[in-house]
Amino acid sequence: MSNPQETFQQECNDLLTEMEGALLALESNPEDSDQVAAIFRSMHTIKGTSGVFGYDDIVNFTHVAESLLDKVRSNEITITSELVALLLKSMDHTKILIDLSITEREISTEDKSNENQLLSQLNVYLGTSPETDAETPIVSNKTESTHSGESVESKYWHISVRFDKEVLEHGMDPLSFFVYLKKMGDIIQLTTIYDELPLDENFNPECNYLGFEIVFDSDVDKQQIEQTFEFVKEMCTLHILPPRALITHYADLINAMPEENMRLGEILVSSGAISKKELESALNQQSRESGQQVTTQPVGEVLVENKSVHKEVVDVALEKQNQSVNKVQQVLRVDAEKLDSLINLVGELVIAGATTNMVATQLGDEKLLESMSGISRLVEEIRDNALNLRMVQVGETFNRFKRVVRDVSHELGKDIKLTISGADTELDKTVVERIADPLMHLVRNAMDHGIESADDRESKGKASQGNLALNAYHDAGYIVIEVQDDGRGLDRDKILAKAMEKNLVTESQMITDEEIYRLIFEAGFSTADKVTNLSGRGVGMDVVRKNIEALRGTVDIESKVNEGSKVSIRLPLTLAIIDGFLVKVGESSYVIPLDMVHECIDLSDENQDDNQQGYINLRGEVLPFLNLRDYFKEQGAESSRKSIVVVRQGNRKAGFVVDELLGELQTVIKPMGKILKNLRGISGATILGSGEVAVILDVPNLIKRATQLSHVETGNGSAQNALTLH
Amino acid sequence: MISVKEKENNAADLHLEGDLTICAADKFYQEMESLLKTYRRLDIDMSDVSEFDTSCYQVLLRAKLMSMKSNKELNIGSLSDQTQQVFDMYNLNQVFNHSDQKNSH
Repeated sequence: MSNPQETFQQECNDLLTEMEGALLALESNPEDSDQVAAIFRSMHTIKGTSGVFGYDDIVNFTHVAESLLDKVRSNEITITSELVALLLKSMDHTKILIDLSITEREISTEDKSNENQLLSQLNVYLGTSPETDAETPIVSNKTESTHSGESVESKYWHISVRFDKEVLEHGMDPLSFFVYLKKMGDIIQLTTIYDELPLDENFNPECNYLGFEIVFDSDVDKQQIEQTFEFVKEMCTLHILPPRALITHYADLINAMPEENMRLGEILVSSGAISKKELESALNQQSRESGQQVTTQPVGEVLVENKSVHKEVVDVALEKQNQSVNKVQQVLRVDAEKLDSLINLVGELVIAGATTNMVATQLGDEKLLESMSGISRLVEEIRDNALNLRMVQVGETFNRFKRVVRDVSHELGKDIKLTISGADTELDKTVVERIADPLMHLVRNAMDHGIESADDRESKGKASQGNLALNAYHDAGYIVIEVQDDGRGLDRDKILAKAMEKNLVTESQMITDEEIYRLIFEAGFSTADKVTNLSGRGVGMDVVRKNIEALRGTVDIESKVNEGSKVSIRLPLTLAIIDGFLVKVGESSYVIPLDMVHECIDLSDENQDDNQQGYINLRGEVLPFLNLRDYFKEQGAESSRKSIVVVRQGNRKAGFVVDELLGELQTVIKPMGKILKNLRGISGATILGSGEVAVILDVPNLIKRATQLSHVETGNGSAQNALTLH
Repeated sequence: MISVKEKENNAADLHLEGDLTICAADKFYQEMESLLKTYRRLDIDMSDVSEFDTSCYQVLLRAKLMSMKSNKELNIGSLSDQTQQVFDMYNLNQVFNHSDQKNSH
């Protein structure tokens, strides 16, 4: 990530999301101390990192919230639903402050007044005067009443600097900065940290591995000290703490330090929180006691007992040590653009591989073909691994709805329980990002208009608590996301009446219930009708459908009166590369996503008769089919021996009649140009090894076409209109 | 850059001279590596070093740490004014264990 502010914002957002999850979990189980610790840690880290960036507004606000959480952690304050609500609001406000700081905007009067109110409420819990604290938010170097707000005794500046490895190669010597610093005051103590110095062959004599903690005595201001390091500001991490800085600032510094395995004592000394002598005496005491007692008192406790250091500083240092010990899963943040570029290159590699494969086949050299098959296998593995990098669990998106359901149900005065399942189902990050808004719409609609009020429910003999379920699972190369409620369901007759009024259907038209429910996704369908109990159920639903279709997905709805509705969104797992099945019709090549191919059968003379009817008898099952030659108006010679590719989507099946089956193919999906974007039945295009362009079929859409056409063929004269419905 | 004078008991006196800066750091590192492998004890005289910077200080620090690790000896003896300043600034005399020799040049 090139921009540190961006990384900061992302990390804070992640922490806030974690915090939200923990707060909601705490609401249902107030005794869970792990959640309290997690919330405290998140708030503490946000405060610490904000301090590093100099975002004082965030530090001042989060400091109060953190102090409160500290009291919750030490059981001085008990968790209540009011406290959770207050902490949720504080969390929201922290997010606003972060956004403002990143964009360098001033806080609005409304937000400021909200902040003051929140601070007053937080201070009520803390037992400090609300008036004073609300009017004067805590600033970084003022003495505070809580123990966490105490200042250190040191009357000196503390400078912590870590130069980048490349600093020497750029002609900058850390020495020169310290020599300059000496001209502005006295270096009381300089501690050189060499933990990063490699003692193996990784050592590069032209790289810098040293870090420095400096205790500095001077009358200059912070800006002047910063200016000393102006030339290397891009090549170092610099923290400057003023004389008598808050202990929490030292604690933050410890948190921000890169050294992982530093012993606790070394961290405290090098950060200037305690002197070397104090550490030595603490270590001596510890070794004496360990000689007499079975259990050894940790250095931290000894230091606190001796009043050499405050408890909070020790806690943070210990927490950092624990983090480095417990760090099992390494996570690396990578710019999404870099991943996209990698996937694009893999796509090109797949195409180039196909070309080479074709040339090798033409040459007929066995050794070359053998070698090519090895390469093809590797390319396939690289492709899968590269695509996997983009996969994220849908759970993170689902978890956002816990808060939405909580807040909206309070707002509506309804009691609604959210059940989440399949949270570990993975899908492409781009898809996850773009599905969040449509899902939000569906969830809000279900709560607002689907689920009835408690009284209504009871009068219908239902449980007063409404249920909303979010579910995700994989199905044939697609991910299915379901939003289900146990509310009043859709009123079929009213939708139909409305559709007729809008001339979307005619009276004589035969359409299924499913098709009727799908009408609520038509543009402008329900916005006008405020009388029907559907009101709002379709507002903006056309936008939901459009967003999903833009991702090559589909949306379906099932509903039963007084039992509830289920909206199922079906989305492709990835937008980049798929396994395809190549077929030929006339002179053109078509690709069918392999996951959807069920089987291939010969179109025998026996079922040629049925052919005219738009369906065939497949082992006793009626299988609607579509002749791709007719559908795409293909010219060219017809094959004497045609095949049917049976495709499946969910529980629907159809057959595509093709001239020739060409086999499996790694398919790099290339988007269609603007002009071709709205073509039905086509979801994209790909380039074959020969350089020829093949069209990727939009199977769900074509299955529907096949079903409708067979319906038309079977004699419903007016059903031709039905084609225009979808 | 380094003159080596062998002594008894697998030891050697090293006399460093000239500029020990980033331009010479790689060569200095390679030579120190090889000397550390060859001898059990190295006594270093830095009184004729004219320029000394962080990169070569790091090489010496690493050599000292390696010697401690492999149970060998590396002693820094006389220092020139320039090297003295660097050793004083970086304040790792406890590691180098040469506080006694500080002003011995």
